[in-house]
Amino acid sequence: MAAYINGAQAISPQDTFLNPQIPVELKEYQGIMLNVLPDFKNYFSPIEMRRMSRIIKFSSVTAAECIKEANTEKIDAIITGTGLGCLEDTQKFLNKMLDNNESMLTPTTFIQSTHNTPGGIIALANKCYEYNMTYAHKTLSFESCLLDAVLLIKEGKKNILVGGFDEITEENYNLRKHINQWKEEPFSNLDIYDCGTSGYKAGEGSAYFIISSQKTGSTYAELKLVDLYYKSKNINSLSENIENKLQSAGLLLEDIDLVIFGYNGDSNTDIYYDQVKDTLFKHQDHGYYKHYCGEYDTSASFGLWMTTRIIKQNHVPENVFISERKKEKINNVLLYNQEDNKNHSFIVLSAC
Amino acid sequence: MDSLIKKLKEEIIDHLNLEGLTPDDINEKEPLFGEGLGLDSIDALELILLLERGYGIKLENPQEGKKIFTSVETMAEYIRQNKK
Repeated sequence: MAAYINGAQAISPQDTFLNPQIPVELKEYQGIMLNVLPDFKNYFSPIEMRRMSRIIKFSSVTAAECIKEANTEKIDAIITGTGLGCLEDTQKFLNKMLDNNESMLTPTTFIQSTHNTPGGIIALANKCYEYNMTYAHKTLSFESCLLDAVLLIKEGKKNILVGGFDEITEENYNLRKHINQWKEEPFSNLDIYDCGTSGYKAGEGSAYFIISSQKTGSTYAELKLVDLYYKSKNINSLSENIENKLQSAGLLLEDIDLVIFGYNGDSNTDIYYDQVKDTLFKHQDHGYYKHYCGEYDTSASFGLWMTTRIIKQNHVPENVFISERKKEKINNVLLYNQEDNKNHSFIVLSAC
Repeated sequence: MDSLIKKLKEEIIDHLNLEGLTPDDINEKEPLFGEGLGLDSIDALELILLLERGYGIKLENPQEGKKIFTSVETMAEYIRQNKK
């Protein structure tokens, strides 16, 4: 049973929201990469917004526009993925616990702080009382959603809303500064590829997709493969896995026209992308995406948003390319993301 | 505007996160629940905690709640009578 992407919307640190194209002009950030947000008053009343933190608002709005774009009558399942969930309200809730000596805690911050709050809000807004799942599997959270969606399509579901979202807060950013996770500021997001230094740029975003069993007029691409791979022993075992999985999807290595890598600027871990790029896919075109969105646990969802635009328009903006473009037509794109050689994910989209 | 009523309105806006509203937008005589501000049961819990934390008033009898939280004016009246 084939799975198609019939809707794709993203809010990110770039002008991506409701944008049918990948922005050519990139916004430059020397520090944290924060989302470019729409005016939420166009979507919610003040009474509705009172229990919506920033991440709930930007996640819900992305989902709403994605459903609208796909013109789907009925959503059969809502699957969301997030690494750290509603971080701002988790912090508020924990700080209130400390301040009030674990007594007199208010319900609102607790309600807002759970990882599945956006999934619940979207369900209520769309009166979708079907399967509703949230995956919090760190850097494989979003990919786990996609896998689940593919399985549900195989079971006969027709339209599934899948989304990935994460936010960055100043408090969290400062905490992680102590373990040297970030690039030393100032450091431009435009310089992350092959920069030769450790640490990465903090980012955030939300991207939602309608995965359907049927192709429609709004179809972007076919979702040909979703594969997760944990801890590769060496490049050979990783290569073998990729080849086998591509084969199971009816593809050969040569069929892949473009590989989009999750290079995040950390020279300690970007070497794993280099290995795959320079051995397995040396004849393909190469691109990357985290200079658009920064690094966060569900950043692969932004990569997938970018891939939907590339496939549909057969166009790759210059600043996405690592190497010079060799292929005329882009039929199959592999999106490869990994975290510290542990959480590897491979997603293949095909033109249809 | 009565200073307690003004303070209460500001606290309600802050505690219930009523973005975009100012104290002048809230009519102290209008119902807080159902009509008026259209608050719900979760907001009621927030208001109970507001009384406890801000004014040291612990609501012993839940039945009283409906009367106390009718409007900003009734809340202010209850605070005046029971503030510790």
